[in-house]
Amino acid sequence: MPVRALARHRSDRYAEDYVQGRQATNSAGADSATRVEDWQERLDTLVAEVEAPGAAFGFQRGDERVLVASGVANLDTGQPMTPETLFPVASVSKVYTATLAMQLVDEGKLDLDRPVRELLPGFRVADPAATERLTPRHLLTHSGGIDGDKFDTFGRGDDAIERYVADCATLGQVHDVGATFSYCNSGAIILGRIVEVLREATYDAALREHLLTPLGATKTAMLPEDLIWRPMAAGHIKDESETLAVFDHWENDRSHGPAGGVVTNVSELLDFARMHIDLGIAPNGNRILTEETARSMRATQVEVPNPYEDVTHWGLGWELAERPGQPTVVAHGGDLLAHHARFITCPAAELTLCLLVNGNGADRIAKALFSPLLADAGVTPHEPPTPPETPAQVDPSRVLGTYQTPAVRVRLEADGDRVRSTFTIVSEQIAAMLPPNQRETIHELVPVEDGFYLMKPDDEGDPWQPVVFYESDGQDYMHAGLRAVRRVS
Amino acid sequence: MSLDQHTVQDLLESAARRHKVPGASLAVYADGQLTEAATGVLNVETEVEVTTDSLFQIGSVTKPYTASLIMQLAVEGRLDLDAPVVASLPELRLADQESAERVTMRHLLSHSSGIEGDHFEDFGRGDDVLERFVASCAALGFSHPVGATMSYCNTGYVIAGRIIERLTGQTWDTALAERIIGPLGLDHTVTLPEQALRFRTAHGHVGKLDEPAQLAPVWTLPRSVGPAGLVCATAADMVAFGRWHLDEGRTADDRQALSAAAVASMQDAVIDIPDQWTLGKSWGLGWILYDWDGRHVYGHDGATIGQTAWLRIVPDSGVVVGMLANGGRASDFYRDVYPVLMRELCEITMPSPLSPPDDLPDVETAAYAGTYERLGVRYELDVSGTGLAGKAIATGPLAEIDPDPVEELTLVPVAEGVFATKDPDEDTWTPMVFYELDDGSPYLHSSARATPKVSAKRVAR
Repeated sequence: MPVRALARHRSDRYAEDYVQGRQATNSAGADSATRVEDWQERLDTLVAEVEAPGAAFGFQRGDERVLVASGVANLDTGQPMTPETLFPVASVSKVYTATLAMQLVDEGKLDLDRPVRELLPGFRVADPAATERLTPRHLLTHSGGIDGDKFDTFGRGDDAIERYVADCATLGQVHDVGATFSYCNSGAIILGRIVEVLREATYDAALREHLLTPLGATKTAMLPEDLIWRPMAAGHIKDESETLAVFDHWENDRSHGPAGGVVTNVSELLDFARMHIDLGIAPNGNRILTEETARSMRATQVEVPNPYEDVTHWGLGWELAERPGQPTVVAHGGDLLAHHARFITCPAAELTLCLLVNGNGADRIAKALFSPLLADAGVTPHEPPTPPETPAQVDPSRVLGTYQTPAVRVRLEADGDRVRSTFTIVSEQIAAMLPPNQRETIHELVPVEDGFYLMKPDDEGDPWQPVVFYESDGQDYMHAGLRAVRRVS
Repeated sequence: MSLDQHTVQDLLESAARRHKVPGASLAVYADGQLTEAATGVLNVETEVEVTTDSLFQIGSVTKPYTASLIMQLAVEGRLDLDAPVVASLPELRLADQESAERVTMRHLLSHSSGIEGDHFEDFGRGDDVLERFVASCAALGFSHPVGATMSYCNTGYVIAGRIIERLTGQTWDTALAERIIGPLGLDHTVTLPEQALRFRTAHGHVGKLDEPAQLAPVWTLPRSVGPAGLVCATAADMVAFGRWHLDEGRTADDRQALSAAAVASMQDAVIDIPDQWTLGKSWGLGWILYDWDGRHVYGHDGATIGQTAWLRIVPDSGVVVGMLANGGRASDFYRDVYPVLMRELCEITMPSPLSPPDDLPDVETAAYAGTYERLGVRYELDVSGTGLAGKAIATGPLAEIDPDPVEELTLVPVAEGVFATKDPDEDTWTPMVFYELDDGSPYLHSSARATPKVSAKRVAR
């Protein structure tokens, strides 16, 4: 069913103004290859195809900026999606947190290589050696090894992040500090707490004062009372009857803010990216970061052990894709249950791409819209690997065994020429959030080559997930979904 | 009888236009049918249209919701309306502890405790705000002896909210959601901004009425005000809450969510309002009680930063009317809409608001001159011609955010002990009633609050 048929029909002044104002906002020339009308048509078609409620898309290439939006922000209210509609961008927030930290580096207030415990008195995690060694650089590069998926909640108060970090005292290790790379939400939150302490302000107040205000990002905010002034995109998921419905749950727990609590829109995301591309100078001329710092954020810091992911390395906050013969892609995605953000820049081409979708289908829309623009910039978009027609003849015994983090246990057993993986959520906290049938799931792994398998997706049509097996500092790991899982037997 | 949608829509639209109301929503339940209307914009900057499913802040219309929660707990035997509230909340400390220990829930719900009512402090946005608010009351005094008169008391409702938290083990927000919003099926009623975000939600407007409306500087009052005023709802949901009372505690799906006896007792007068013109005749438990044309009507008004709300229930006609607005000349707007609906739907002629007669009476004035003071305001009044003149000076934390902390007053005589003053921007007169408590102490009643005389002479300044 066409999703937009559900939207109520009413003339909306805001929408009319937006349509009238759009020509002014878009700076693409009439004879340009990137006519706004063409992008609008493409987006309209894609949104209808994937049955998303709505999407906002924008790109900037040099001085050319195109903003389009399609569908609705909220199926209940019928408000249109526009490029100005506020949208939770989830993990894209980590780049904002990284930027706030790097401003402190610029001011000489933060040394990335000085232990966190010296900045946060009383700070500790479960492993004393990790407590001793963990630095802000580890947190920015997801290489500290602390369990990254701690999602306990700490209320709405100004002490939420402080309490989260205090509660990290029992946080276990996925790997030793600095041993490998594993995507880490908790690290971003600890970094956010460092910002709070050094700025003597709540994270959201520090974000506003030191980044959003100088950037001219007047609509970006974190707290609902600061967001309710303007229309915002509701997330949508399918209900029991498989009907797309507004997801009635505010997902941005305040303590998780530095890892995922920023709410913004396409225009202001493009400005934020432009500041990074222009090495610290915002579109309004304000200097946000020093040139050196902005450059260091997108310089390679660590390698992603799984070479089949769409990102190959991590900078300070930024995801990087560095492929031979191509300019570096600097990016960060963000996903909540019902909001999906795709945010990609190619600084060499002065190109930023931004897509926000308030339902499913973000990757399909992004692929269709981003590919031609990336190709113009000399970037061949990463294609997720697909399984070979006939499984590769490899000896699976090398990878069989049990792998475990504080949150999940993975058991790999032989199943003919394939491998059967059983994922068990061992964190009671995470298990409690999941329906019982998702606390233990079984996936088939198909070998592609020695040490490289593809995990069959639950839904046909979704990409197969690459899984690699590797050794680092004498320890065996599997790496999937940007996370390392240590072999325990 | 009922009115068709066009009539209701025209009434709302024309009144909103006349009184510079940026946006408004109206729901009328009569003859077993709900009629809704909406006009204008939620926010003058975004210009998003008000629809009938838009949420507004209903402000103090929240108080009957909190009172209903208390009544549920009373029916369950978990509190006694006439026992001292310190029985439920032993840690409660006020400046006059002897008086504090005599305050009952009936006093709190009827605004007759005497506790200084306008103690507005921001304790942040955490789940501990009510606990911290109550802990901050230790220096709070009484503006009148316990039970001696009526004086509008936000503080009392926050204390009542804290007692709800204590007895249910939940935040006030959760208790309201589980005990009233859920059972009544009010799916467009919320208390926190993160819940309001998924709806079209109105923003308040402030500023001088001869200039374009400006957005209120903040969207919401501090969370500690919750039980006294932080419900957000559509007009239809607010009317559904009113219908729950009209239907003697039965929900729309015919479950008894509060006993009929408890619902009825909320409409029994506890205390008379000395100023009979501004709100109503007396206060029940949560409800303001009106005597309109000899008919029993109950309801409540609400005002937050730039948003206003009205709810009226006429039991003998089976009529409930709820209206919400986000700025403009609010009381004049109400005065244009409600009398029409009451006349058409209930054959009620609403009492005229107080206004001075053409020939001003010759009344006592010297006895009323002097200084009157309670928390938040000081009145300094002198004899002036046949009336009184002086000023109302905002004091305390609210004065700091008040752009105009000193208001010049000219009190025109209406009757013995009754004067009227008027904001030059509005048509509606504000009564100023001078009276004595049973113990003979002189008071001024205005804006629903009792203010004791602290000195006979105006303080020279």
